[in-house]
Amino acid sequence: MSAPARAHGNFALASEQFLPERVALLYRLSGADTAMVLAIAVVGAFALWEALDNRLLIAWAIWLIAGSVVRIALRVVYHRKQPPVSQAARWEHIYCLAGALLGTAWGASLLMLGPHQGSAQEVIITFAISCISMGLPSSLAPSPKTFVSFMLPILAPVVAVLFSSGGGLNTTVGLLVLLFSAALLAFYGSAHRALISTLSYAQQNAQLLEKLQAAERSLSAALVEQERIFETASAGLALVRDGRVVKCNRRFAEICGDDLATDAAQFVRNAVAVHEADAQSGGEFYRRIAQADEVKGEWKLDRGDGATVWIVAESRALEPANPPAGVIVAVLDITARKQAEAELFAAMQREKEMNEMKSRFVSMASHEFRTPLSGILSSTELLEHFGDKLDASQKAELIRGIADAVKRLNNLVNDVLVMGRSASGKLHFSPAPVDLRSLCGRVASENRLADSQAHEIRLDYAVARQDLEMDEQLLALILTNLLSNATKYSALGSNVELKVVEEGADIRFDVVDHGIGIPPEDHARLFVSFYRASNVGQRPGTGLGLAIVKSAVETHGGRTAIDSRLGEGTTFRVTLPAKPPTAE
Amino acid sequence: MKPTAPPDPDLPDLDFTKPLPPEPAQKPQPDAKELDAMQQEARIGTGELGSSGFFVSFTRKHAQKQKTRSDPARVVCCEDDPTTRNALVKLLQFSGYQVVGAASANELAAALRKPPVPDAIILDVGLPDGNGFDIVRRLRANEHFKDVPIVMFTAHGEAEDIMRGLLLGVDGYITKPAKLEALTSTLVSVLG
Repeated sequence: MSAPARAHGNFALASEQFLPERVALLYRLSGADTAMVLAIAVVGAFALWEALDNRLLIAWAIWLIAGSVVRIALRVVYHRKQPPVSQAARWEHIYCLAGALLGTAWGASLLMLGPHQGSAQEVIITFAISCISMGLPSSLAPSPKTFVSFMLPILAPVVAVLFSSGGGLNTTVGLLVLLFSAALLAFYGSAHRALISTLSYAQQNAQLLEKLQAAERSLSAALVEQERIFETASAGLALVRDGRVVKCNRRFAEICGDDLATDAAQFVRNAVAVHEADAQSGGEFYRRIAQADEVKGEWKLDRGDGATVWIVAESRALEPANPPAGVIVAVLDITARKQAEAELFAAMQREKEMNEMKSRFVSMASHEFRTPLSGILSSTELLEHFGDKLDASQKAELIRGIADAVKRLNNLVNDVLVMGRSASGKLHFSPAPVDLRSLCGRVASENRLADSQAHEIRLDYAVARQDLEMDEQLLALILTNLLSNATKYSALGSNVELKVVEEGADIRFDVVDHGIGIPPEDHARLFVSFYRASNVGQRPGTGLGLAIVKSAVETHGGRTAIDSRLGEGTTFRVTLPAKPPTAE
Repeated sequence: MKPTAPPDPDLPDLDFTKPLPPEPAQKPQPDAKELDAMQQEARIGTGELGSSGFFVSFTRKHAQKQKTRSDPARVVCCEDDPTTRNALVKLLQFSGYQVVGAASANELAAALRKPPVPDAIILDVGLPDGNGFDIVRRLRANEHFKDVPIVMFTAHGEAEDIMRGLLLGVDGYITKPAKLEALTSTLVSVLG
């Protein structure tokens, strides 16, 4: 519904529609023309003085003044009251009533005074009224009702009297007044329409303004929303143009480094510089986004603060047709995922190695079990089938061989059991006063006996203390395993030494051999169950010995150390407390 | 006793301490059918080990490359475990063989350097100074011993071990512990 349509098409409706505005305007304009009206009246009165009945002029002046006063008074009252919009119709009626009363009074006074004079006077009076009335359409333009109710009582009686008086002049003047009334009405009509149009345009403008404001409000709300989304996104987001971070959210700064905030302009360039050395990592990422490339992938960033972050990032051109506009970069921190992956991978690797070690153990253990079984079986078959051909000493040798094999099997079973116990934390530590010298001597001589390759095992015992409290079983386990390793992995006839010395409150055991040595890369894992150094070759073994040693040493509250040179020999050092730490 | 054709008395190239030449990258592989048969054999062998609990043995039908042989047959038995070696040597002697025992690769080399060339070699894998499979490679590369039947007698009883031995050209593979009859029947079979 356009405003002009309202103004021309349905005029009454438009008038009704703008009632509050019209009433407000009516009161605002009320009396505004008072000065001009009075000035015209004074000029008119001066011109007509003596030409008219003076009473008529005085009455006319009185009504003009009264009318002006009333209009000003109405304006003041309206201004003071500031009535609500809902009372607009009522206030129009009030003004209408006042206009009607004034018009009636004026018309009545005209009737009472004329037409007694000459025709010239009538014409003059008529034109004087007309002249003054010409001001009314504009001042009463807001309210047709008021205009009509004011003008009708003034003009209608005059016209009626003029026509009823008879005579050519009177009729002519009556017709002139009617003609004037019509002209006045037409003039009023156009003034009113113009006013309504103005009001309609004003309303339209107001509506447009309101729409504009609403649009502005929703735009700024949308901007705020976008800003919130941008800031609270869990992904780091940035606009990079010409190698500069034009805009980024907090998360981007958190992921890519806090120095971003202090030097956003140089950030990407600096970052490229930081990563220069490593083309495979973040350097490539930064260089490519600085070139406004569209990228997608995972990179490792070295941040300014020294931390390392894994990111998955993707960049898109802001305007695909216009690369210099820059790229939007989205970055997610996947460090935790990468770590988890790495840990998982390491765990899988460990498990794989463990499985390999276990299968090596199974193969080695079966070999270790079969070798003595073979000796037993062959010896018993020999005794069974050819016993009668053997002399007593040969038989005794065979039987000793069987016993040795059984002992070897038994030791193997014991090793596995000890390892099982220590793996489940069931290795017992029961320290007691011990004669360390004789214990060491016994272990050394037992190993000498067990050693088929006849190494010389030397004991160098240099401990003066007598008040030692140690677990004899654990100690025997440790020393036996170390000595048997020393003889197993060194050349026939070479020396193996067991040195026992005091070291502060501890006792230190060094088992020194001049054997094949242990490759440095194997040192770290030597004490892991089933693990065997890479240079053991065909020497039999289960990979349990050192694991047992480590477990026993730890149960005893001690520590182990290795010093080994490939091809030259190995020293295993075990340091145990001379007495268990006293419980406090 | 009919001596066989005496080899070079010193056998100067038979030194097990010399570094073994690297295996050729392109090892002459048996054709697919033969390989399949070997794997079948190895599988059956380890299966027997599982069911009998004691031994697996099989022999390849050696083509009797050895033209002549001594009587009684000369066997060198290399085994590092003294109990087993002792029993083995006596068992074979009582079974009618002429047996020389060797406790290590070096002793084996020393025994082999003494003519005549033996009619069969019984060989352990895990020796203190060497690996039985490496010794097989050396012997098979040596002009004098390339045709001597070799029987592995070892606790390495996995199918992979057996395949390795077969591919290196051993003639019998017995896993420890084995009964005497396994040993003797294998020897009879390889000696023809």
